[in-house]
Amino acid sequence: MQEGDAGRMDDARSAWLRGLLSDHAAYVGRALRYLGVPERDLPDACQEVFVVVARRHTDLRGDTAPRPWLYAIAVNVARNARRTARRRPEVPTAELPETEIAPAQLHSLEQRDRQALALRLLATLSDEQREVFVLHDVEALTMAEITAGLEIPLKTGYSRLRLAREALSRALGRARARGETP
Amino acid sequence: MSDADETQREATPEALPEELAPLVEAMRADVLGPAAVVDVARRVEAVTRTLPHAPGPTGAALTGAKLLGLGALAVLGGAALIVTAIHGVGGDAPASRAVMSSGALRDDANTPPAHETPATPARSAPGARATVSPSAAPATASEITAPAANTQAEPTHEEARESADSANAAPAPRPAHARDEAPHAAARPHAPRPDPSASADAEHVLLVEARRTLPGDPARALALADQHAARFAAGMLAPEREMIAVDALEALGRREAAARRAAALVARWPGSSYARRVQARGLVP
Repeated sequence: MQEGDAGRMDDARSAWLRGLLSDHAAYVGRALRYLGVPERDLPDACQEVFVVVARRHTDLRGDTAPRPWLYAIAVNVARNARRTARRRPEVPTAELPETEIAPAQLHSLEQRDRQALALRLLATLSDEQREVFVLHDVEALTMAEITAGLEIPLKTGYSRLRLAREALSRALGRARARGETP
Repeated sequence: MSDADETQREATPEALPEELAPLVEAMRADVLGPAAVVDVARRVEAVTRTLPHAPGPTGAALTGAKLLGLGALAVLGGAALIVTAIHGVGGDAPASRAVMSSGALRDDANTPPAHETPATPARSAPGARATVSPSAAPATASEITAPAANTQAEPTHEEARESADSANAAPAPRPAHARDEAPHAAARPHAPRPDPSASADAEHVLLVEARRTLPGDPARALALADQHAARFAAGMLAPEREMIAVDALEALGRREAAARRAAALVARWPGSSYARRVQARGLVP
């Protein structure tokens, strides 16, 4: 490849990646958080997603809808992050303190309380239920996108979603009974 | 339940239980602040700079397991990623959707060799310039080493992940500067390009504020976008600025003006994600 060709390719890749970061980094960060990545690891995990994207740009660039494969990468990064977090028992993931929420965000206290509660409730789900719930109900992927990526039947996807919602509703009820809801 | 039934359910999915709606709404707010997003962009820039240039097939939109398989990785290098990340636009679902490639979330079929070129996240202080430290050297792109969801016991890939966590375990070639701890610019095959971060920061500050104020004060968001246009007419974030302006005009009920600005956006950046967005919204034919 001529140097000029490489330069043009670099420019194209940079522009493409810049656009992805601009459009989707905040979404990816949000998904990673609710997929179970601890707050302390969030920037690293988000970086990892986009580094993978950058390295695969020739494979991915032709796809017009980046969100499905961005989330696909995010799911796998989150799985690793959760495993890593489990190997660091000094920071339990099941009872995340409210300070886990980034202080820089400009949200109301009530919203932050709800986010903290959501993190605690999500931690009660199995990983597979949590992934389907977050991708479907929070990130608004279609079930077809989710189940295709997970290579599970559509019915299984809906079953996991239903179980996740039921489990969350029950956990929310228990939290309310304990006076832990905002 | 038949496939037809499932298809029908997909078309009209069950509603979210009412009691969960406030939680989900809160979850849809950003958790990664603007500064953190910028920092992530800088980190990505730092890491991608270290990768040797070994372009793969160009323009290929692969499908199936190959799509996310590390075996099909195109290794990047050379170019500096201009740091321009701003907040994502809105919290709404994307206008366009595509069925996720088969196996995209599974990793067992795509498991890379444990010696895959590493991509360990670089830890850098927020606001730091995108200089490459030894810690920014790539480590294993470990997302693929995760097990397929739930159905598998603790992964057989665990050891590979452990190896990835170890700086010395991955035998993959590392960038010369990482080995030598030399400044990255000196190790790059091409002369470094001018660092655009300074102007990107100024642009970014304006547009993050515009984006932040958009939901509650679209007039101010529009003013900030126009301010950006005056200062950075051909700035790197010009497409983002125009998208914010279109959103603000729509929020102000000025649909005709929004349509004109959207049309100009499409004309100037055809094929961009913003062009597709305004087209999907019917602002531009």
